[in-house]
Amino acid sequence: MKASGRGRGVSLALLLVLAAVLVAGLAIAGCGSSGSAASGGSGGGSSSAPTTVVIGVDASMSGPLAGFGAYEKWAINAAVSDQNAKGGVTVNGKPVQVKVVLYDDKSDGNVAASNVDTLITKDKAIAIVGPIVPTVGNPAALAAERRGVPYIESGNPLEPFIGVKAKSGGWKYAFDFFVSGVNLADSTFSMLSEYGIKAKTNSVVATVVDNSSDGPVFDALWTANAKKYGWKQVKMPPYPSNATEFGSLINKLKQSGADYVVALGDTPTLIALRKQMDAAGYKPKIMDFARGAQLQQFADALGPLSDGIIIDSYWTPDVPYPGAAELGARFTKETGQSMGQMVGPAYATGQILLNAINAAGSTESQKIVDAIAATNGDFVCGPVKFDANHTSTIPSLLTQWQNQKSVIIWPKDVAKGQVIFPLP
Amino acid sequence: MPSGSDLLNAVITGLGIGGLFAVVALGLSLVFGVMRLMNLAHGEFIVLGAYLVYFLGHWIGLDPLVAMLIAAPAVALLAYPLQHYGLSPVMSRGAEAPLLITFGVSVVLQNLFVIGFKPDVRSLDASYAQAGFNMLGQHVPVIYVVCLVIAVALLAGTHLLVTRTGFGRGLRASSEDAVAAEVMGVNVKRVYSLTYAFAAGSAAIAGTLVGLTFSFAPSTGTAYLVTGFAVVVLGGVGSVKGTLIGGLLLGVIESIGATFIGDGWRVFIGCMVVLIVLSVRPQGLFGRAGGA
Repeated sequence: MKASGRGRGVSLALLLVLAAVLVAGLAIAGCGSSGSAASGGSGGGSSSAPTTVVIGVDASMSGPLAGFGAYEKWAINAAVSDQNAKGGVTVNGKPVQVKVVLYDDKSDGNVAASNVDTLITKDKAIAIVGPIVPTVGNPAALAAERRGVPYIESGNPLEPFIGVKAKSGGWKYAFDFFVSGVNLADSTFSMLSEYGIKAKTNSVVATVVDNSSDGPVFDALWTANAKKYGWKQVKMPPYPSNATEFGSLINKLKQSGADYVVALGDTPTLIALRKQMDAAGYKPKIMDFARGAQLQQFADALGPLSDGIIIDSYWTPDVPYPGAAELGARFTKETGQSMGQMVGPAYATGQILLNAINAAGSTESQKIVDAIAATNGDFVCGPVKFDANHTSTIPSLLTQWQNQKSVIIWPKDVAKGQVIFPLP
Repeated sequence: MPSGSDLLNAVITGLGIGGLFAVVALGLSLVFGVMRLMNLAHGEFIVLGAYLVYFLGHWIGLDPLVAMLIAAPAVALLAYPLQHYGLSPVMSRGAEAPLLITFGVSVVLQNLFVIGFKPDVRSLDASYAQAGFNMLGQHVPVIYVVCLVIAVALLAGTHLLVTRTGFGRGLRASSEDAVAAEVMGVNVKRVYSLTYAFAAGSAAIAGTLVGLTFSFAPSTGTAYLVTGFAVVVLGGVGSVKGTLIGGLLLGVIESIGATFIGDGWRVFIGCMVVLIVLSVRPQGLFGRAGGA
């Protein structure tokens, strides 16, 4: 093609390219960080009181775990906003406002670790609030641990968190409070026996895990529970965590004849699995999805197909803990969105960290760590008291999607609805 | 050891998924075959199509396959000026500049999806997406048949467009030698723009099928871009017939491999097949040796 007479056109095109890249950069920056409260000098352990202190937050705002991050962002900002309304935190005897700086890890563990480094070195965060789920939570926690900065998270089952440092002296700066994987994996088996549902099945359970870091943990726990509760287990081979096509897996599930299918996966994969199970004409009597099915977007995407699916859960505004109902009402009023389970634990994360900074009266890492370790109180997600592993167990629940709403079905004393059985 | 019934099930599933793969790859193959351009924004056109169909369904209650008939030309209309004003002026400056532009468009669109539609995972809902029927002792999901039928119809239509129309003659001439075609009176710029728009429209059709069969989110496009490239390499760049057969082949091989070895090996098996074909026949199964 001729090049003559195109100099001007090319220049314009290059300008367009530059504009596009600029817009992209701006968009990424817009998605990637957010702040609240005025900026100013930050902490960092000096003896004079800073004008603001920065709490760094790494959250999964995009990618397969994005649904978790949106709730986490709102909840942390709500906790900080509440604290700032009371005058902020006390550092060196003076009230100081708290600023939140949040980065999106795009559901990628490497990005999460990099974000934590940036939050500590560039943004001078005095403490880090970590993301949900071990695949991003563990790398983020390790990054904070390496730099000796206090780190707290909820949403990472305790066993994968403890396991990371089990052979290297345990966590020194990082804390995790959440449901225990043991309890989480036990809940549905326990409920099915307690409610007499197991007796109405062929007592065959098929277990499905992905190849993420908590896949082997849940695989082992479900195996132990199948034996404990008298189920014949059929183990499916682990599938890639980003899989979308499950033809051969569903064929194997059909052949297993299992009345009870329990699966672990992220939201997109569990949506695809459920749709394809239905399209393939496979309908077990009980379906229990862990991790990705708890988000409202799961039920929104599947519609009536989500009904009857049991979810290993940990929080709804209906739990009997102080402030839970009010927090749920506030979230709905402020965002107009459907409730997410992470709202409660993420708000408690902010509360615990801010309480600890107040108790420490300092921005020094070790003092904040000691104050977090001394936490002992009731929060919106239940009682929190850290043990020697830097973990605290919050009670687990079972909820079930009923008319695309998450309804507590177990334990019996907090249940808000009857179990739908068999799967519609 | 899987039985004959398992194998049959894998073939049926693979054909359906392979049809989807072929639709995903069609636009990539055309753009690369005609313009020698790796369109890194193709995955985002797929997702854009899925979003348009989703919102047409929610706002005016259109069935996804009907909404697709609106979404495909709409995405094509958006893509036309992008090629005409963004890519065309730099096409003669080598492969890097247009490649970078499509990368920029991909990033911008992904972020606009996040800002505009939230990062939520969504799915397209239709009764036939969950229905099935029995054939040869196997339960066949209707959506896989829909994928296969649309793939065959779309690629057959594209083949006719390329081989039996004036636009197709211009397209083939531009693909062979753009300078000679221009000398012979073909408006190569217009052919490029129309090809790019057509590819984007086919991506919107792929997005509809992805949304009906699986789910989609702002970042979903990248995974399908990779699948599309695998099909293009397998079938041969620029070959419509190769794209269909390459897609079906990849779907069936992955499905059979997953049945025999396990779902965890699905992508690995697909990649191995692509590598083997590349080493034996670098131009792909239906590509021409020495051609692009």
